[in-house]
Amino acid sequence: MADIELNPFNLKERKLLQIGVILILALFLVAFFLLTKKTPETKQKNNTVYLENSTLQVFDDTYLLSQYPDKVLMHYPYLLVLKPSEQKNYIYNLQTKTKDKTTKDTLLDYDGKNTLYNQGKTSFINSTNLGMLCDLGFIKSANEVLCVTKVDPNFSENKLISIDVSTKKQKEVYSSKNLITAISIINNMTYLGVNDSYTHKNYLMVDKNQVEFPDVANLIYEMDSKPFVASLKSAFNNNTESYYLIEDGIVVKQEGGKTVFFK
Amino acid sequence: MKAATIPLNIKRIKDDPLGFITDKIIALVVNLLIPIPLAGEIVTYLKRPIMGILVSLLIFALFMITVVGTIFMSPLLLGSSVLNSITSAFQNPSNIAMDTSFGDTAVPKKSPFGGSGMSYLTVTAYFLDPAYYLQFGRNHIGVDMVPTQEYYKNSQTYLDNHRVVVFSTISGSVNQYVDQYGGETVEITNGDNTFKVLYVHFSATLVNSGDSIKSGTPVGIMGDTGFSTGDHVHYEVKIKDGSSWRAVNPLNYIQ
Repeated sequence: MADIELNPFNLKERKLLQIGVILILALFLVAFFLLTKKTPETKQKNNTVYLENSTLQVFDDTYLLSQYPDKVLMHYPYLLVLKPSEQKNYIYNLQTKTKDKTTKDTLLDYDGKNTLYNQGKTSFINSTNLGMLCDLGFIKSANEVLCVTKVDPNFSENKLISIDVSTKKQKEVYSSKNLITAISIINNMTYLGVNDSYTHKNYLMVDKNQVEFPDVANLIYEMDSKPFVASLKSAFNNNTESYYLIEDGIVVKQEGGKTVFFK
Repeated sequence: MKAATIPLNIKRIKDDPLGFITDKIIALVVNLLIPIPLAGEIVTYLKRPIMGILVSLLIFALFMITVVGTIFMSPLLLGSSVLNSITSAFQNPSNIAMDTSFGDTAVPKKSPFGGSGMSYLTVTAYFLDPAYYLQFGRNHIGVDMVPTQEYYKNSQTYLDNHRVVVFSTISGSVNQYVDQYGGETVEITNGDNTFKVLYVHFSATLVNSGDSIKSGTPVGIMGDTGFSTGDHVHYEVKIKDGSSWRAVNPLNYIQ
């Protein structure tokens, strides 16, 4: 067996070497830690929310909304993206620019504290069964819900009712032989989108005043404290998208290829 | 230059084991960092026995994993649904058992997925959904449904077949066809000709036109054929209204 030569170090040199090795190891560990450390989350690139050609851009998230029954709702500052077929629904807070919640329930509305949703044959607010099915809904307060429901369950005509959550007492707010397509309350005014079942003409009900509307009112929403109405792709508008500002009872079409929900 | 020999200094190991190990580690690291002929000599000297031991250990480990794995995993695999899910793909769907809990009824009373009430179904699109009308310009005269988590956990039919099987909710005669959008469709009309149920988007149908079936008979496997954007069942209930059929809300016929 061949002799093995050790390094010709004395005690002092060996100590120095030990320190050197420890330093090298320490340097290696620091470098390893720095290299493997997760890169800090990049800043949000997109600060707006818009729809363009059925593609909804919510900050940095993208959703395809062309597939029925996917839809978008808003109860400012909350934006709801519904994907019922995937049983996934997303709630964004537009003020904080964050995704607040993901839920399985088919949402009708969310106001930050209360959740209005459909489950089975009826609609619920939080865990309270409202005892009826809403096609659309809006949480007016923790104790009052506006529910768009059918005049006759076997026909498509809608009516708007107000439900007292604690007593379940219902009060009819608006009834017609038409289809209610959207609902919202903005600046204490109730907005309804309505599609005439016979003529297919559209109009808005702003409190009790009727305002002619040139397109399908799919979504009534608040932006910069003003009411806007979005018209999504529909068989009644040759599958086009557009959005309108409602100002003093006048409908002003907004230009640009995108339907802006938040800027 | 001081020289040391192998075997190593036993006295040093006894007196100062920690110092000895530290010295050896340092010597090794230093030899690697500041190459001298000695390092290469050690590696060359020990290469063959170390490699031999490593390869032997590897072969032994593989052998043990295979033997122990086979012994212990076989009962688990047989008892789990893994094998069933593989073999079910080759099973003839016509072997799926009927659900006797439906009874023999001419009026729909249960969910097409079975189970009690609405427990096995989630509605993804309701009857006469305004959003459907606005998007497509025609009414949605049925309900779109997918199974719930409870269904996947508790439905014996699903546990046995690993397919979402849809049952006839009434007894009657079958009309099976592909609709105008390519959707595999099954329609069942009761004996009185007063009720009709219709299912669309099956990936496979399990009955044929002209068949006379009882409620609870498997009629198809949930799929996404035709005018569909994902696996679901479109379910309609129609009642005779004079000489024509009128669609009614199917949820009113699930008790």
